[in-house]
Amino acid sequence: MFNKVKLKFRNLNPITKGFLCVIYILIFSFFCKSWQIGLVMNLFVLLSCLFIDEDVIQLIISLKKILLLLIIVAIFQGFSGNEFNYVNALSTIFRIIGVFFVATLYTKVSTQNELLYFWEKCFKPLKLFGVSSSEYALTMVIAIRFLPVFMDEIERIKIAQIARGAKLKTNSIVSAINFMPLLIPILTQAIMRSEELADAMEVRGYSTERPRSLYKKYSFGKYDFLTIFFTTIIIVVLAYIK
Amino acid sequence: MILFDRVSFCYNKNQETSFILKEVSFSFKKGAVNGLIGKNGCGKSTIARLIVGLLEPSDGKITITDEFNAKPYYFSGMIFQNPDNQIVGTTIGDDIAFGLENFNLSSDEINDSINKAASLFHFENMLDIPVSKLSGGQKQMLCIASVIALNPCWIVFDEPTSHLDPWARIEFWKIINELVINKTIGIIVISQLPEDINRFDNICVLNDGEIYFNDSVNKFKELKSLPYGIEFPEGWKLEKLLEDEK
Ligand SMILES: Nc1ncnc2c1ncn2[C@@H]1O[C@H](COP(=O)(O)OP(=O)(O)OP(=O)(O)O)[C@@H](O)[C@H]1O
Ligand SMILES: [Mg+2]
Repeated sequence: MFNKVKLKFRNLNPITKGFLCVIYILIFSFFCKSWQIGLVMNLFVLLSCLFIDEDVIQLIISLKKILLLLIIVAIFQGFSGNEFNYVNALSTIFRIIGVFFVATLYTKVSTQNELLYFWEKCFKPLKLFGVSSSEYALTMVIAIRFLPVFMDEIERIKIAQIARGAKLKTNSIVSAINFMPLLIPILTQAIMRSEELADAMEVRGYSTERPRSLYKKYSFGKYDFLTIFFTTIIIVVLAYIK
Repeated sequence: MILFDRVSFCYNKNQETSFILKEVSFSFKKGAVNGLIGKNGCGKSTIARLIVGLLEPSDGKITITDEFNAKPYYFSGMIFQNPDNQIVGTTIGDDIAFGLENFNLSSDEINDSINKAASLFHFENMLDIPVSKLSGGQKQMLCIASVIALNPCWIVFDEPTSHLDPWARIEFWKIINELVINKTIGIIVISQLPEDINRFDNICVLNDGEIYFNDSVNKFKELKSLPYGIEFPEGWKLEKLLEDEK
C-alpha cells in the first residue's frame, strides 16, 4: 500500500516536479531567515524522502561533496561582526544545504524526458521574442545528460595520472589546482561529444522547428494537487511567521 | 540503391585544394553487406554523413531509390562509433521512443514500434532499465534498435564493431545478416578491422579522394596490391600463400 503511494509521488507530473523544485529553492533562498526555520524546512525535505522512495542516509552522506563550500561560507558569514556570529553562520548553512537537497532530489526523481518536457514549457514564453524554447531546453538537457559522462572522464584521467606516478593529494584545494591544466582537454572532448550527439539526434529526425509528439502522456492527478496544496500551506505559514 | 554521381566534397569552401572527395561515382545495392574501407582520414565518415543528409555535396548528386518498399519518405539512419555519444534517452524505452517522437507519431504507433524493435534485440522486458546500467555491447545494440524502430531504407554503420568484444561482434554480425536477408533495409558498414572485411559482400575502397576499387569480395581477393594502409585479413594471406605453393 505505502509502496504504491511512494511510486505515485515519485511519478508526479514533470511540471509539478519542476515547479516544486523551483518553489522550494526560492523558499530556502528568501524565506529561511532564521536558523530554526531552516532546520525545520530541512527536516521536512528529509522527511519527504520517505514519500519518494529515496535513501535519506545517502542524501545526507552526499553533503560531503559541498563540505568545503559550507565551511568557507560559514567562516565568512560568522566573522562578519566583531565576534563569531553563530546564528548567521548556521542559518546560511541551512539555506545552502536545503537548496542542495532539493536540487539533488529533483534530478534523482526526474528522467531526462521529464526535464526536457518541463524546461521546454518554461522557456515557451521566450518564443514571443523570437527565441526557440526547445533549443534552450535542449542545451540544458545535453548539459545534464553529459554530467555523469564528464565525471567518468575526470575519474579516468585521475586514474591515468596515478598510473603514471602522480601522487594522489587528499587536500581538495591542492588537487583542484592540479586539475586546472586538464580542463582544456576535457572541455575539448566535451564539445566534440556534444557535436556528435547533436548529429546523432539530427539523423534520428530531431529538429527544433518541427512539432514532436510525446509517447508518455503526463497526466495531472490527485497527487499533483495534493503536493501543490501542501506546498501552498507551507508558503502561507512561512509568510505568516515572517 | 544509393547512387553517387560525380560527387565532390570539401569541408572548407575557400580552400579549393582541400577536396575530400573528387568527383566520385559509385553505388550501393540492397540485399548485400556493403563494406566501405580506406585509411584514416580518407573520408569514410564524410561519405556516411553525405548519405544520411548531415552534409550536402559541394558538387554532383546523390540519389537514393528504393526498389523493395514504397515509403512516402526516404529515411536513412546512421550508427556512430561511440554508443555513449548517441543515446538520448535515460531508459531503453525512452531512447527508442526519441526518434519516433520526432516523426510526430501517435503514442499507440510509438508503443507498437518500440515493442517491435525491442523484441528484435531481446529488450522487451528491459524497457524501463536505465541506459547507464547497460554494457558497451548492449548500448551498441540499443543504438541499432533505436534506428531500426524508425524503419529506415538504409543504415550506415560507422565503425560499429570497434567498441565491441569478440562475442558481441559475432552477435552484431548475426543481426546484420538477418537484416540483409530481409532486404528491407540496405546496409553499409564502415570498418577498419580485417576480420570485418571477411563479412562484406561488396567492398568499396576509398583512397586519396577517389574510389580505388568497388566490386564483390571475390574480385577484391584477387587484387594484386592494395593502397598503402589497407591490408587483407590474415586468413586470406595464408590462403594465397598456400595457393602459391601449389
Ligand atoms: N568538420 C570538419 N571540418 C573540417 N575538416 C574535417 C571535418 N571533419 C573531418 N574533416 C577532415 O576530413 C577528412 C576526412 O575525415 P573523415 O572523418 O571522413 O575520415 P575517416 O575516413 O572517417 O577517418 P577515420 O578512419 O579516422 O574515421 C580528414 O582529413 C579530416 O581532417
Ligand atoms: Mg570516421
